[in-house]
Formats: sequence, structure tokens, C-alpha cells
Amino acid sequence: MPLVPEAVERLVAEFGRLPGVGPKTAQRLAFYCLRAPAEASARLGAALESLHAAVHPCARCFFIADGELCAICSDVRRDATQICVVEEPLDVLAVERSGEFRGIYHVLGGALSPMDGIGPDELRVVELERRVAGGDVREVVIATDPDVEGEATAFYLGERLAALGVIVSRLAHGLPAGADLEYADELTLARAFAGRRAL
Amino acid sequence: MTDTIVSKRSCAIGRLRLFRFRNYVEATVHLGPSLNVISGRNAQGKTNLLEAVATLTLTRSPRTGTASDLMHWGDEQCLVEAAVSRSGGDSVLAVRFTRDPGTARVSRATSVDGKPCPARRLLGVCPVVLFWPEDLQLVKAGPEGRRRLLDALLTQLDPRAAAHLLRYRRILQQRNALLHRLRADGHGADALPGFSRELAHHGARVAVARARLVTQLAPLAAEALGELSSGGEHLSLTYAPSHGGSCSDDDTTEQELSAALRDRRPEELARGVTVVGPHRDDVEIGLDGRAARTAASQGQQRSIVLACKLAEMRFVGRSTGTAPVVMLDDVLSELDHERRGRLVALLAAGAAGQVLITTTETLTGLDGFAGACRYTVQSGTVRET
Ligand SMILES: Nc1ncnc2c1ncn2[C@@H]1O[C@H](COP(=O)(O)OP(=O)(O)O)[C@@H](O)[C@H]1O
Ligand SMILES: [Mg+2]
Ligand SMILES: [Zn+2]
Repeated sequence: MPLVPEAVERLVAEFGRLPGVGPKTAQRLAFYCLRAPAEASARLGAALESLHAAVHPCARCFFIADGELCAICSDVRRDATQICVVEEPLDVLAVERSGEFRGIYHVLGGALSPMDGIGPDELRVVELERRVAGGDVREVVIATDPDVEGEATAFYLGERLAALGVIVSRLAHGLPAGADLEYADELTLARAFAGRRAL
Repeated sequence: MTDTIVSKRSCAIGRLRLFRFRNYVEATVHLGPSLNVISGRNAQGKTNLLEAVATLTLTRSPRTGTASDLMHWGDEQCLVEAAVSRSGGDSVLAVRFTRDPGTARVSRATSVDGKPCPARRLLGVCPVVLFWPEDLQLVKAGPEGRRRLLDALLTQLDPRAAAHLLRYRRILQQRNALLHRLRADGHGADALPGFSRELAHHGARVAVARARLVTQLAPLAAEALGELSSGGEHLSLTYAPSHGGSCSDDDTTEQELSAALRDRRPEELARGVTVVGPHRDDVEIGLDGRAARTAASQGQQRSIVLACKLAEMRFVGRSTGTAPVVMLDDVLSELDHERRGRLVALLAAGAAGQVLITTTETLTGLDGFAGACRYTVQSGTVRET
């Protein structure tokens, strides 16, 4: 007979699948839920359940949205002549925290990584080109991570966009090598924006 | 340069604790400050013990790139912890590897005196020089061993170069994966320039750092050869980059490496791998102006190897101001009586600080050291004898 009921076992297993959660933390979270009022668990369950139904990629920039467009794309005060290209939706939040950027975004969905079979076709590159070619975009700021894959991707995008007659710049790296944009602190990121260079 | 001015300070590992490391379930060893002789039959854990010390002080195993190899079979973590005493005070270093059962990814956690800190804080606290049996082929065998000697030094002594090296290895994997794919189905050619540019940037910095290191090591090695053999031959070491340049400055070397990548593109596409760059560079070892690998006798080659290792120890000693912990894994029994005697004398005279020697046989001629400690290893347990 297992030591704890199967329902607890299952919850521990699910928590354990989350990034950054080890087996001990998973147990602690599960026992916390057990101790907390049942409504708290119900709220957590409901929040999780509605997640995928309510949220999808923004039709324009592929950040997360609950309407057709995300909050940033639907904000008329944002400068639509500037596009900041990032790898993942979370990177949008990192750039937003820096408070330096007033334009709109494009989420690539990753970076070039031949080892993982990720080439340009696996990223939203054509969609980016279409946006740049079709509108009044003046500048594209490439804010992929400063790791090997991010740098190679930035160079690749620079070459592809050069033909379209926009200014293409790359975040200047005060960023620590190998760091994820997501983990860069606000100050570093603000400095990186101020010092971006033409690509 | 004599050893007395090379290394005034020293560092030594005292208490060493292994937990779930290789074939050690749990073991604590108290090492002596000078010579430690670790004996035992084959496959008992002698090399694993040295590997543990190296894994801690270098923050990664010099023997495997797969950290999960280090965990005792069936375990999800392993730990190496050591009390290091230095002139500047004592500290406890620890490294722990943990495997996430879900993703099978291994993460590393390092600490000093119980406080978590980035791995680079451990590097250089206790400088080490490793001497493995395969190092005896340094002159004769292929270039990997010679590159490994340089990279081991850069990793410990030059954080900037070490960062470029790490990055270079990653780029090389990515670029080779891309070339492999290109050869197979011609897909992805437009992604290549970005990876080539990265390769040239970081590769150039690796090559320049290595070339600089070789010019610093060369006189030390030549001098050491003079101390080891009475032949009066002149030993020369020259960095030989695969792209042919002089490796004198970063930017020029980057341009040269880029040009070489362009020139050899057809060959790369045909073979599906990166054919130029620091991963193909070499160190030319010359004896009186001739290539040592063909012109030197067996005995001379052995002496050259020892001279290079002594140069490495002295360079570490000079750069860090601390005589390194030197580990010889089953090497002494491979040397003839005379070379063994000279090497041991030079180690005892200060080329090394603390020395860890493993052996399967009873070793003689170690009298130069004061206060040797002896241990016996048997299936993952260590006993002081
Ligand atoms: N991850 C591991 N878990 C348990 N045993 C291991 C592990 N890796 C290696 N071993 C065992 O360690 C032994 C080799 O130890 P080693 O230190 O190389 O021997 P030696 O004393 O000859 O230097 C072998 O018996 C091998 O099976
Ligand atoms: Mg061994
Ligand atoms: Zn949007």
C-alpha cells in the first residue's frame, strides 16, 4: 500500500513536472493545498482550466492575448513604427519592465538551433517579414538572447530584413554572455536599449 | 626561474568527502599536506578519487562531459566537499550535481563555506594540475592532448578565455549540426553565416589566448627539460593555428578565421563538419629545430612530456602565486627509475604543493617528501595505512 492516497500522489507528480520544482517542493506544495481551504484549490483548478481556453497567441505579434490582439498591439499609444523582436513571450515582459521601449513586439517562438532541428522555417520569420514589408515600420530592434543561438538568429534576421529598407539594430550587450533575456535585470536591459547598435 | 621564487604560498586539501560519487557511496578522507600515495588494485576507485578532487576544484569533471556519469549508479545526485587550507585562510568548497527525474537534466550547485555561489568563485581557489597516463603520449599522439593541456590552463587561469572556450564549444556543436544537415538535404544554408560569424569571433579569442599561453609556457618547458636531461637539447613550443595566421591580436585573427571559413566552405559542405578553428589547432613541439614526434627518441619524448607538465605546474604556480595541487594518476610506474627520481625530486623541491599519487604497485624513490601519507582503496572505501 502506498504511503499517501493516490490523489495526493497525482498532485505531487504534476507539481513535480513544473520547471524549477524538485520532488521536495512538489510535496510541500501538495500538502499546502491539502491544508488550505478547499476554495483555494478550486480557484487554482479553475485558473488552470480556463488558461488554454482563454489565452492564445496575438494574431499580429504572437505575444499572449485573450482577444484577437494582445494588450500591447491594441494600445494606440504604442509606436507601431518600431518592432522589438524577442524569442519567447516571457521576454516581452522583461523588455516591458525596462520601461525603455514604446513600440510593439514580434515573438519568434525560439532561436535558430540546428542541434534541435530548429531552422528559420520553425520560427515566425516569414510573419515578421510580412509585417515589416506591409506597413509603416521604420526600425526593427532585435532582442534575441545574447547566447550562441540568439546571436546567430540576430545576424540571420539582420541579413533578411536588410533588403526591406528598415533600420535593423541589435541590443547592445551589457548583458552577461549566456544569460537569458528573461533574467536580465531592468537596469542592464534599459542600458542595452539605449546603446543598441545598427546591424 | 627557480621554484623557490615561484611558489611561496601553498594550498592543500585536508578533509575530503565524497557522497554518491562514482563507486563511492560515502567516504571521508583526511589528506596530508605534502605527499599522499593512494594504492589499490585495478578498478577500486583510485582514479575516481582524483577525479572527485578535480571535479570540485575545476567545477566539472576533466574526464566526462556527462555529469550524470559521476553519480553513483541508481542515484540522482552526488556531492564532493573539501576543506582547503591556504595561506589566506581555510574554506570549505562543495559541488553537488542533481538530476531532475522528469527531464533527466543535471544541474550543478557550488558553494563556499556553505554559502551558494557561482561556480567561477571556486575556480582558482585551489589550483590543480592533472597528470593522467594518456598525457605520456603528449608528444606522439594526436593534437587533442596538446590542446587539452592548454585549455586546462585557460579554464583555471583566464576567465575571459574560458568563457570564449565554453561558447566556442557550443557554437561548434551547432555549426556542425547545421553542416551535417546541409550535406544531407541542402536545407538551411542561409543560417550558416550567423554561426560562422560567431565561430570566428569566439574562435579567434580562444586561439589568441592559447597562442599567448604557449609563448609563456615555452621557456618554462625548455628550462625544465634542461633540469630533467643532461643532453642539452633545445625544446621549442609553437602554437599552430589551423587557419594559418599568427594569432597576435583578436580582431585580425577573427578576420583571418572568417576568411579561412569562406575559403574552405566547399570542403565543409562536402564533409559536413567545421574544418578550421581552434578545435583543429595544434602545438608544434620541436627539439633542436626538428619535429619531436618524429625526430626525438622514445626516451627524449618521455622527458619532453615531463618538461611540459613541469612547465604547466610552474606556470600555474607563478600565475596564482600558489603551488598547485598535483595529481598523478598511475603515471610514476610508467617511468624508468631515473626519470621517476628526477620528477619526484622536482615535485618535492616546490614545483608542486600537495601531491596526490595513485598506484597499483609499491612505489619506491619517494623519500624526497617529508611526511608522506599512504592510503589503500578497495571497492569505494579508503583506508589510511
Ligand atoms: N557512476 C558510477 N557508479 C558506480 N560505480 C562506478 C561509476 N563509475 C565508475 N564506477 C566503477 O568504478 C570503478 C573504477 O574506478 P577507478 O577509479 O577508475 O579504478 P582504479 O582504481 O583502477 O583507478 C569501476 O569498477 C567502475 O565500474
Ligand atoms: Mg585508474
Ligand atoms: Zn500583439
